[in-house]
Amino acid sequence: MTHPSEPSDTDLRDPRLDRLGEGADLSADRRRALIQHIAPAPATGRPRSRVLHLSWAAAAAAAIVIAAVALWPAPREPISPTDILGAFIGPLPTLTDTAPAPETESKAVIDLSAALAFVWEDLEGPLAIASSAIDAPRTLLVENAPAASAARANRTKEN
Amino acid sequence: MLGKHMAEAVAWNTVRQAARGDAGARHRLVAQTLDDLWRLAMRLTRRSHDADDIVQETYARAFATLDGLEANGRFEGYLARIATNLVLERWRKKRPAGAVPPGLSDQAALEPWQHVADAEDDRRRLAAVWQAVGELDPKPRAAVLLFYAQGESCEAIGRILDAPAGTVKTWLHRSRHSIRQRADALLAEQTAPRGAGLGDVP
Repeated sequence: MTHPSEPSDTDLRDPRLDRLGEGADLSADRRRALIQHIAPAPATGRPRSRVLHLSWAAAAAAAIVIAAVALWPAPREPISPTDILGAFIGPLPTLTDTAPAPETESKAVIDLSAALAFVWEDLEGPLAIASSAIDAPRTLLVENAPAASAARANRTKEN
Repeated sequence: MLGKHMAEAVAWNTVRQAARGDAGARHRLVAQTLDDLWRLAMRLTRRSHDADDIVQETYARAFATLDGLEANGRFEGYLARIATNLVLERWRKKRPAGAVPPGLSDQAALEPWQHVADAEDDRRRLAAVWQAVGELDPKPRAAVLLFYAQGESCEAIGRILDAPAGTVKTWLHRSRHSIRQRADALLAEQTAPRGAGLGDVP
């Protein structure tokens, strides 16, 4: 509560003394340094630098290139029919001579003929039965049906 | 309130977050109040490095006592009270020399419409005022600087210096009178010996 006899704030003003407030501005550099010293901005709130952005972009590009290289279908060697056949009928080395072949080409020939012989042995019986069934008249085929069944059973046993 | 260049008031919500140790809230508090606080410290200490010290110590004390702070009044006023008390402690230990703050004399001399002699006269008058202010007792001196340099009201100064507004007005009234008298006497001393000295030259 201001007493009537007390001077007001305006009464107390003096232009000569108001100049005491001159020359007290905080420079931007000093301000930045003081804030950094007193209460630096937390790392999460700090804006990311351009260098950081670039490094993220480079890492993303590198990841894309690596993924493309890893997932791209590799060119495949054509597989020969012999290899496919070999894969079905079992390990070929058991059928071939254990002695090392003098040359790779001749070994390939031996392997191929051995494989064909093995296949032919396996198919010879069924093919003969099929051939006779085609050539025989239907009545004979009906009469020999049990025999054909027995032959099929024997064939299964052999296998 | 921290003076003429008052920024937007600090939200008490931010103060409470800072009290819980939120680094982001503390950063916002400092960024929002630093300009006014440093200006106050600079006007009271008149040296930028002293102002830096006062500002740093003020924030350190404020952050240490945020827990017990009640959401009463303005946070900026709390900072101003801490800073002023820190300066008062320094004044009680050592009286500062009465000198114009660095940059003020250059600023006065660079006014384009002023004659060089006028600028020099102006600088001397301002230096005399600063010296007269420096010779005041700590609390009246702080009141003068807060009122004339910082633009605070008598009520606000009373809160900062923990004194009734009437006492602040009495300090200001008496101090203004004594500053004028002392500054005039200092200016007279500066001119009188020069004339006497010239007279003594053989």
